Amino acid sequence: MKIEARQGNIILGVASVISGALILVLSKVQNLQLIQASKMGPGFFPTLCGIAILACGIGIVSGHLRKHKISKANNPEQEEKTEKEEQEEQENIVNVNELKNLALFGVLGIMVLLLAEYIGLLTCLGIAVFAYLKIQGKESWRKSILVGVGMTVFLYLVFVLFLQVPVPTGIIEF
Amino acid sequence: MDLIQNLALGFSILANPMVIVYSVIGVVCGVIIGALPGLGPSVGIAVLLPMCYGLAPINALAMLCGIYYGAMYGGSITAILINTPGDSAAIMTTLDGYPLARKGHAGKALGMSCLASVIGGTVSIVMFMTLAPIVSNFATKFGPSEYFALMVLGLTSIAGMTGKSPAKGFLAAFIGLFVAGIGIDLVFGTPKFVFGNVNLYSGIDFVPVAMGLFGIAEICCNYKDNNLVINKESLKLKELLPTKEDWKFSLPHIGRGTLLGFIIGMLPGAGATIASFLSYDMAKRTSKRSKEFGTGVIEGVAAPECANNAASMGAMVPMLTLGVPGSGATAIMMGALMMLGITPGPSFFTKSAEIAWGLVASMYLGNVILVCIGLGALSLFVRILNVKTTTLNALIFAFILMGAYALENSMFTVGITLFFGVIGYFFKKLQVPAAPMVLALVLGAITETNLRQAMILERNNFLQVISHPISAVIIFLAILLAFGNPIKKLVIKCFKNKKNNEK
Repeated sequence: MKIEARQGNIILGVASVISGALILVLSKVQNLQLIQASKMGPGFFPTLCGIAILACGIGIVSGHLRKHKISKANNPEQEEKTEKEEQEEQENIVNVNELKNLALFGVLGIMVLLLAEYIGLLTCLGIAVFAYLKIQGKESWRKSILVGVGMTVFLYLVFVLFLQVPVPTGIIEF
Repeated sequence: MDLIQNLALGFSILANPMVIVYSVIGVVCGVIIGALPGLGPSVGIAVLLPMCYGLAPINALAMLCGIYYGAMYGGSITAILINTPGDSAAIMTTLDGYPLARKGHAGKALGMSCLASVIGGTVSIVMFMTLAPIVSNFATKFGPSEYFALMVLGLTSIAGMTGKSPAKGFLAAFIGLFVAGIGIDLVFGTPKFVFGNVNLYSGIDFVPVAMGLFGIAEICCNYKDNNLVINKESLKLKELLPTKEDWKFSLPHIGRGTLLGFIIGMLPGAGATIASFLSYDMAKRTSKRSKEFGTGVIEGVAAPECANNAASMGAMVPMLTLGVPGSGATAIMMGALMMLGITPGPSFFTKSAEIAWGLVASMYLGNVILVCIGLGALSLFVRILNVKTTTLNALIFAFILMGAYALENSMFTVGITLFFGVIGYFFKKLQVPAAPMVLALVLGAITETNLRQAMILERNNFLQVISHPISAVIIFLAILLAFGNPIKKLVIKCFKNKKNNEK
């Protein structure tokens, strides 16, 4: 899956318009008033932000369309992209490997969120380190286990022993 | 006389060996993080913030400052060795640093980079401690109206100057302002955007957001190895020290670059990247061998390196004296100060004199540590850079999640960090700068409070709020910084049209 700069700008602009509109609707739904007891009400800042986000979204889309229109008008017959344009588009491409990396962190993060209370936060983080090294780093079992255990011990020493943070221990009680 | 007394007070605080220990930890972590491609001071401070949890304020500040200038120097290591700047402020260092490394003078370039950074840093601390109390005194005259104007200046300048598209910068800033407003309303006690979630009643803290936006987002994007291959012989201490001739060529540029960097650093939104760019440009124009720039001249390394460290010190002036951070990194530092119960602003140097002057003294100490570590342990840092990126990613991920939990002893903050990590990833991909969002998050509540106080004082007359002489000047500057470029383009266009019509 590839997302080019031009598609990205449109997606960002539309998402911003929707988000801005959503903030305005939610401010209304929650009955956050702009002015209350002749003072700035609790809805003043969210409304201001909603309008501004919406305007920025429109600005991004229109700016992009204008740029596209100008470049087309200047070079109607130019089919080939310049090296700079090519490079700029390459910069923004979201490639499959990167998305896999993001997805793996997402899954491991959710695993930590869901299991920390049951098997302990430090254990979960150790498992996450091990799993990432094994799946993304394609490391050996030995190295993955060693680094996972080593990091767990390091976190225990710094946060539990030194900084006295009460971490959830779960059934393993570690 | 007062200055010397205050400095003596600061150095007396350094008698506590723990300050030195934390300063060393900060510099070491800063150099390592700064050297890793893509990870700059903002990421370093954001990731290591949880380490400050429960520390004495002066220890935490010494560590954070160490991370800040350690990262500024660290960025140059990969810039010189593999032509990949560790952060944007080190981009200019690649121009002459990498050609020097290719000629077999990597050690000389790294040595000069470290020494120029330290000279820039140390000289700018002198400027900082001279200027900061004066600005503080002036700022004591400020009321809510002036503070509101200052916050607007901070927000608009950062948003307007970051990245290619101002609209994206402003978008990030307004998202940050919106997130800052989540929670119980300060005046009326009305819950805003909490949707019955008890964890949201106290609002969203900036630390998990910063850790997600900078830390998680970075490790999600960065999974390729550095493939660092260098000649270890060139990193021996003897090779690192510049020769007399090198000093002769570099010293004038270090002097000019430091002054320029410090001034640029004080301006909100300008930062170390612009400082290093301008300093390199100035060195190129004024050097006796300007034609050789880009082929590997030592002053081409010294000029940007001293300027970016001086800029990082300059950025501390508005942050500590006015409470207005000038960059993403100082915004995170300001949040860290607030987390430690210290309020930066005009009263910082009077009410928290011990901490303020202890901080100044720790900056001197930090620079001495930077020379020792930067030159003495360089080969060790280079070895760390050879660790596989996936291994570093896994370790940073676990450290960030543990740190996020430690902030409030709650898994909810871990969730917030992950959520903003995903947002940060898409921000990076869509070229939306994250710094304005963090800045807005830190300044959001203060901006709202000051505006509301000013509105009450001025009987809800907004025009009255912004027409105070000082606030009017600041608001004018903010408009100029934010819309200066479009206004300039419009004026030029009008003139061109007029000329064409006349023809």
